[in-house]
Amino acid sequence: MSERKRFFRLLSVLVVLSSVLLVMVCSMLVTGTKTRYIKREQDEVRAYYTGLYFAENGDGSPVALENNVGYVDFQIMNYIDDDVTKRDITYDITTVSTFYDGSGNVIADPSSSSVTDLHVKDVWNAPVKVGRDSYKYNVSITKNDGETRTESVNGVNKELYLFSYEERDESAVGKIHNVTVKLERKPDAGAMSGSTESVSLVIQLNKPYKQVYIVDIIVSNRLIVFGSKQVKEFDMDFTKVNAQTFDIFSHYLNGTSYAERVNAALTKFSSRAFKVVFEWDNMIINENDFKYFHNNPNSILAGTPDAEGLDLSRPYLVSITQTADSGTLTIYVPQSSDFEFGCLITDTNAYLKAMVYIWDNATGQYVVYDQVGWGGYTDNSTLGLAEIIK
Amino acid sequence: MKTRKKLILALLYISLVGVVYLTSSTLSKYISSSNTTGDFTIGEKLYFDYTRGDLFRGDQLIVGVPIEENIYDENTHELIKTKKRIETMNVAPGDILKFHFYVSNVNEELTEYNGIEGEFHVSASALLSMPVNQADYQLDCTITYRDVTDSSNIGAFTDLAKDKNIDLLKYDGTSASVRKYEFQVYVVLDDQVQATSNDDYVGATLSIYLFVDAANK
Repeated sequence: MSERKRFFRLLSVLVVLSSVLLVMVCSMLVTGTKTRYIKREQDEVRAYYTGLYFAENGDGSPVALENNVGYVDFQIMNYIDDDVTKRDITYDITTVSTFYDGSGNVIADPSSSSVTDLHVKDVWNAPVKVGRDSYKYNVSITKNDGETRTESVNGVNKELYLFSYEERDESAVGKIHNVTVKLERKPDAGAMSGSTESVSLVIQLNKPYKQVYIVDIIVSNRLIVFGSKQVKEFDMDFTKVNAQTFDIFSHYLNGTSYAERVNAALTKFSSRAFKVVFEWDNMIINENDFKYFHNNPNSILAGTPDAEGLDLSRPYLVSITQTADSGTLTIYVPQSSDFEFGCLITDTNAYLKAMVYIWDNATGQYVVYDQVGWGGYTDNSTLGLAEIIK
Repeated sequence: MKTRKKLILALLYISLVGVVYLTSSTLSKYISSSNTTGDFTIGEKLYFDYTRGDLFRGDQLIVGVPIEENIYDENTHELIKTKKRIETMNVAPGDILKFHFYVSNVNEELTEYNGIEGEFHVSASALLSMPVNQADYQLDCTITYRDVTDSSNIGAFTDLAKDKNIDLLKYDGTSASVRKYEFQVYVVLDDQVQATSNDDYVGATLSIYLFVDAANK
């Protein structure tokens, strides 16, 4: 090999190596590559959602609307069975100002005959159906034995009722609020078209988040009103039957003074108790619920349980006969009464009905409290019959 | 003949250079992946101090339980890594959890500090798991921050842009080179989650994953 060839061969190797070096340097410069020292910290926040356990037992309660005002008592709980809400709950019950249709559109005139149903919206903007006559009533809480706390509601400070979350050992403490709500018929609502109206109370939660709970009640201008609702006790489904009567049977507030109440036949009403005969089948009545009634009224009232001047604090139990799952119950219900008793329904064909009798001053005897004659009940075309569960 | 040889040699040379270039380019990408161990034993090291702050539910300070979960190799049962997190219970729909944390270029005791000019990036993502709906939602988080180096002059939180890198100053022993930032991260579920009722949240969990990455400049 000549010197010249060897030189060129070495030169070629040198050029190749130089090129490799040059290319690598260029490549690093072009891509901006350089060794970087990296440090990383990583963390996580994990949140577990809790359930909102909130219940009331006012559904199905009857309200006797006297002089355009009625009251309903019920309980509100921050627990359901063994599950207690592990957060503070604040709520209020007020008059609903805006109603929506089933699609969530605002109803400008709820009184319009073209409106079939009223709804309010929950926090998810889903329409929740309420009683068709709800817009006719102003609603306010007149008594509540729960705690209160001032909170901002839509930017305005307001006193709300509070279930404060408490722990005992490792369990949360469930609480009950006893509530009385006043319903006042709005002056522009007009006269009641029938004997009953379907009204919903809307419990509006502010904390832990905005939510609505609906309490459906029956408002009636009858002197005695019945209702029923489902309750759960000891994990069993019971039915509670409620009854409420007017404060005064014989008179009504006419302006600022009281006037005598008369029916279409101009028969004067009396202050005597209503006589009610319940009859049921496929259900068992809890007789313990009558223990606080006046028992043996014939003895107490010297053989005249229908006499005036009854004790208004409790109804009078005349008789109760009950076989396996049917029976009859006769009671006298004074004015200003508000009571309930429990039933256990044993079959889907269960019924509970009541024949209601009112004292007729004209004839001096009890007569059926029917729709036409007295503004009472004529269910299933039977004068004086109130079908409570059917 | 000599001309042909030269031509062959030239082509061979060009081919060789081309191959070397392609190889170098490919390898250079791997070189750019950097050393992720964070160890820098020669001279100064890159360092930042991450400190957990308070956890808020709305405006209410709540208790977060620190959890450290050890991950073991299934076969050898050796500890692979330790995952740490903060857990909180009793969250309700509509709650906004705000987690505060701090990043500084020195630790509290001044025993560790950043020795290299660098920058860091904070990012977060969230996952809402709704077992009732059999749905998982990847959620965007909002991060705000402020400079809290001078405790007597702390400004308001400002939004942290997703591509924002914050300078990680080299600590030179003077108080002027100390930097401390406070961050808050939260997630707003509105418009990100299609929940239709309270029941959707039964057994639901929300996880906010937080990352702080730093590199030298």
